[in-house]
Amino acid sequence: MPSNQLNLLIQEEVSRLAEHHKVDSEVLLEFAQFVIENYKKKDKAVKKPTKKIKPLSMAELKKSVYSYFEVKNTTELKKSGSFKMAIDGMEPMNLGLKDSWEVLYRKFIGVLPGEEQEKGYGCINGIDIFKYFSPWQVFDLDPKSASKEDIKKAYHALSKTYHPDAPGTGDAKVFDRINTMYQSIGAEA
Amino acid sequence: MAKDTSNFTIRDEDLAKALEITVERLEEIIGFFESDPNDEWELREKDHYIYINRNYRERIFAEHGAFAIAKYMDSVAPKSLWDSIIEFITRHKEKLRNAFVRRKIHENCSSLTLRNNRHFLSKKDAVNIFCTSYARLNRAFDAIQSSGQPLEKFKDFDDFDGVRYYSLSGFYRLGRELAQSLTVRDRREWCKALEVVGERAFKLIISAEESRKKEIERAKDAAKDRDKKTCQITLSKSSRTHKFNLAAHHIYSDKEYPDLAACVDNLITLNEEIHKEFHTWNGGTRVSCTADDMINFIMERYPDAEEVLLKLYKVKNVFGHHQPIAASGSGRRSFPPAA
Repeated sequence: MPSNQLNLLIQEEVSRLAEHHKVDSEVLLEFAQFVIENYKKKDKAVKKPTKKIKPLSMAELKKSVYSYFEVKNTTELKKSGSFKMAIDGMEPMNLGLKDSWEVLYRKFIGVLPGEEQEKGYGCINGIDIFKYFSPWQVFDLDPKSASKEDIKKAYHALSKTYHPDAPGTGDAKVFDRINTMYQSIGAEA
Repeated sequence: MAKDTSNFTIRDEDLAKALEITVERLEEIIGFFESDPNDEWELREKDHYIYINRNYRERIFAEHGAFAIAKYMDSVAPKSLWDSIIEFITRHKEKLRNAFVRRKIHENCSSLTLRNNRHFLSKKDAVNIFCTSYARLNRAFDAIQSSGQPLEKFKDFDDFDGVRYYSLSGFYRLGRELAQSLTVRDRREWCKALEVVGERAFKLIISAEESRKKEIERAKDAAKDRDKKTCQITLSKSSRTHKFNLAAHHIYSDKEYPDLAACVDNLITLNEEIHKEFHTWNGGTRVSCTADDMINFIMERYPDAEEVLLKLYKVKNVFGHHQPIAASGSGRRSFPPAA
């Protein structure tokens, strides 16, 4: 290794470290040379094997919703008393759009493929709280065994992060949603 | 005491239609049944059918009466006929049950109220409509709340003045849960029927109430026009120097006298402040009032207002015989006070 390529300052520091840590100075010189030669090079992009999740098609979404409301097609769905009662008070929907069917799927069927572990604004424990009303998942509790005290503790823990007064992480909109969840699963029958 | 005829629900023309025959052919078949009292085919009045009009031989059948005729026809007709009568009876039962469900809803919807663009129904009414107990409804609620998709407060349920209410979406979820979990089949089917016909029944009630509210508002506007936008006690009009709001007051309160609520003659125009003063004097807006109460109020607080007293006595003469709904024991719906 031509150590003469290294300036005096580095050579002196190599000697000092070799002395101090009782290591071979050649190793340190070699490493210094390696750093000089490679420090500007970009890391090779590491390709992680990602499994692409295929979203449900419009037909698949419709099929699930039809099955839930026990109808055969959209015309029957629109006429269905159960459907009309179930969506009473919801924002008006255009059933010609896939978005509307996704809203119905999330509300009545469950989590859409690809939305199981969402990240970003409004996502807690992998669930987007503005798309789903899933308090047990958000509170990270088992509904079969959670006590009122467990619900309260989980709520307080989330409040510490999302209460509007919490510096840096507070958010009124998120906290409002958490509050509704707490009042819903904590309500007496 | 009236005879119980509740088992007789199938009209002869409906039965003939289901059997794909004419009413005349049905009459012939009945004639065959009656021709030989000793054969195996029996059709008895007051058991299998009753007459609506004996002269015209109009009958109404019990289910087993309809079955007896269908069974006879099946012995002489192709097999498919039996299937069609079974289908007819099933649909007929479903229609009847739906009619009962509708009636149950109409009789138990006095709490129906609009909040945040959603219609809510009290827990008491929900218990009555589901024909269940508070304990069973509580269990259904707990089961839903422990599921992955619990009911959402403010949307599916809420508490108003300490009373639990369910929105139509919450009511639907409770009905669905009961329809799946109840052990008795009839009870499950009742809740299933609520899912099917509930929405239409509720919407009819809601739209009737909304149109009634509009009707009352129209009557109020007409009363103000009739009174030339003048307070009938002070005989003053709102002006640039003396601004005030006008109220159309129900002389006989709309809650206790709903039949008079949209009647212009039962309304009188008052200064809003005097209107409030009257209701405070009378014990609050929820306390019922009559022409006598207004007369007493005027004599005590506005003894110079002679003209309005004359008008009130006229109203009393016309409407004084009306009975408040609580006193008459009528089960009519009560409406929120509009005045």
